[in-house]
Amino acid sequence: MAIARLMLLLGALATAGCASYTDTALQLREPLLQGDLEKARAYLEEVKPGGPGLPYLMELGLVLRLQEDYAASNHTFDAAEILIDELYTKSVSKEVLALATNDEVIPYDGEAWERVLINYYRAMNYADLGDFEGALVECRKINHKLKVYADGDASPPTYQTDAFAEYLTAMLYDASGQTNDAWVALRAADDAYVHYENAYGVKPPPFLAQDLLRTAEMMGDADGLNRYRERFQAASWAANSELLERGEIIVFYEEGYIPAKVQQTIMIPILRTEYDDDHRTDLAWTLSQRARYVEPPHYAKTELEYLLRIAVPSYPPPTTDELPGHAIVFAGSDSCRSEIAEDLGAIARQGLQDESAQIYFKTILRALGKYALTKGIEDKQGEVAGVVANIFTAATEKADTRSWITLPNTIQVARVLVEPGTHDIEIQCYGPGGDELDTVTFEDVEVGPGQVRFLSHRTF
Amino acid sequence: MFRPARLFHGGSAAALSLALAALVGCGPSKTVSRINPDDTVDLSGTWNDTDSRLVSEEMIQDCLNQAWLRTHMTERSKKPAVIVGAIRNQSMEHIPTDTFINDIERSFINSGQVTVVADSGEREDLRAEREAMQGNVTPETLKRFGHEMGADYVLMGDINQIIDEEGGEKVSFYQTDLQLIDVESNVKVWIGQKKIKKYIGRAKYSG
Repeated sequence: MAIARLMLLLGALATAGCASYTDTALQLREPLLQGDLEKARAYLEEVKPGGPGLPYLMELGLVLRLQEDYAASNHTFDAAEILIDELYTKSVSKEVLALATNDEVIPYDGEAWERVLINYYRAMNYADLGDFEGALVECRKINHKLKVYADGDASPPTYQTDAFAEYLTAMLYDASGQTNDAWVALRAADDAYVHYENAYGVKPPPFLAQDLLRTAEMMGDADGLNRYRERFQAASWAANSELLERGEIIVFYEEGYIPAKVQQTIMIPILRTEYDDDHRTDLAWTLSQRARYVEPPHYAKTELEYLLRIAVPSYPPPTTDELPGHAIVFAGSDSCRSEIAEDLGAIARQGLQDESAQIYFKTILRALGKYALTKGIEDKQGEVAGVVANIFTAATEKADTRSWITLPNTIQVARVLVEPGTHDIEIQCYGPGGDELDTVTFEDVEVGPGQVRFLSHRTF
Repeated sequence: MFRPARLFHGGSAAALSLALAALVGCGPSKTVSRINPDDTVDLSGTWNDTDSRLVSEEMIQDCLNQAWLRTHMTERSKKPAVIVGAIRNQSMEHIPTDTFINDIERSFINSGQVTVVADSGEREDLRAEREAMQGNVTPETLKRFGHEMGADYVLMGDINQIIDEEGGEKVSFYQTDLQLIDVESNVKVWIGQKKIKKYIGRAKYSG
């Protein structure tokens, strides 16, 4: 049985010694908070948290965007998208290895919302490069992706669509004069925000109602226009003829950090009366219910078969730091307060909640497998060997905490109509308590009649 | 010294090799081999150089076989001058339309039936070049202003894409629409369309 022991040792070596993804990747936030983007990038490229695939490519793509290296950012995000496509084909050997060790040996292929946000950032990169055609390609990719999510069963139950992404595409189509596409995307965004309000408590930004009214009028949809007038009685909106004479500044304000997953260790008692390795799957199901919802049973020490130790990903409880701040955009003679269009913190937390049953079941099943193996070794080779095996199984147990952690907590939108010409656009950013975080000025922003300029700003 | 030969026996060999695979990794070594640029190599299923070349060749072939060319020759007894204008990318991929435009221009020129005039960006560069010649080159080689050839027709169009996707299966459909428009009268003298359909299958599992 030396082989079984060696196998465990190798398995342990394959994973032990690596800190969790979150531990390594969180160090990236420090230089970002200090505004040292170069240091953040150097850290990423040197340490490559989680290896050279995802989420590294997503973190790097975003840091490069923050560094205003838009072409390199697009190149990196492109590599991320190609990798995600390739990872559609799951490696059986890695899945089997994961059953024996932990989920982090399976290459990370990104959460559904992370994959959509890649295209948001790419669209903004193209817009910043002045390549509107490129930005619209990203919009079409988003619309297609969301359609596949809606049709398929691959996406988690709550995140079936992305209201902000739909709305983003509507704004970009509209800015490019593709009213028909904008009209389709606006109505999709409208539907999606109904779902967002129920699922995440995110209301549609007020600009959406104005866009729906204006575009319904442009499309000559009298019924639609009447319906929207009834729904949005308080909305005042600029007609298209007015927009054609003025310019518009659209600001995407990204604030804070998406919560980072941490490893939570849970001890689950298994009683002698219930342990039955011949029905491992049933037992795993009972135990996962116990771990998630039910108080542990009271038992005497002698009744205990084993104290099962599992490591699962979880989010720490929300803190006041996570409450969203806001920005005020001053442009021309007007100003606008930003409105939340995407609450990534809420999406991520709900996403883990949706997956939690599956994660617990899989983790407990794996732990039971390891326990059965340890028990087998102990029975055949004595207690010492059993203890050694136990140490190795515990060492390989690690929660999968991988995620794109440089993402903001919320994405907010502010829109201001201005007279055509050159403007200094000031963005004042406030924290959740109303404390001023940061003020930036985009100098000499040129906007012609009927033109839209997209700007974005991030605070950490 | 690690001696694998002694270790590979018994039922644990498969599990052992899995654990080993995790340690060693299994990256293939890099290979490079030269291939003919005319060969069709489909890797990702996206729009590639072969699509660009085939679509441009076929569409321009079709364009040159249509009535407008004969009509033009009869009426003006001179080869038509054409500008290849904007080809808009309306697809879900970042198709390099510049390459596509070059392929179209090449097909036109190689046919010998059409004169291709430089597009607006190139014309700016050429005018700057003529500007720079003044007072710097010998009188015999000096190129004059005001002798550019005006185009009779502009070719423009777009590339659209529809993707149908379900699980690991994907059908990607590209439609390229081109139209040739008389610059003076705005009359559309030719409209061409070329469709490409690709099936992209992805396996759910690999080894």
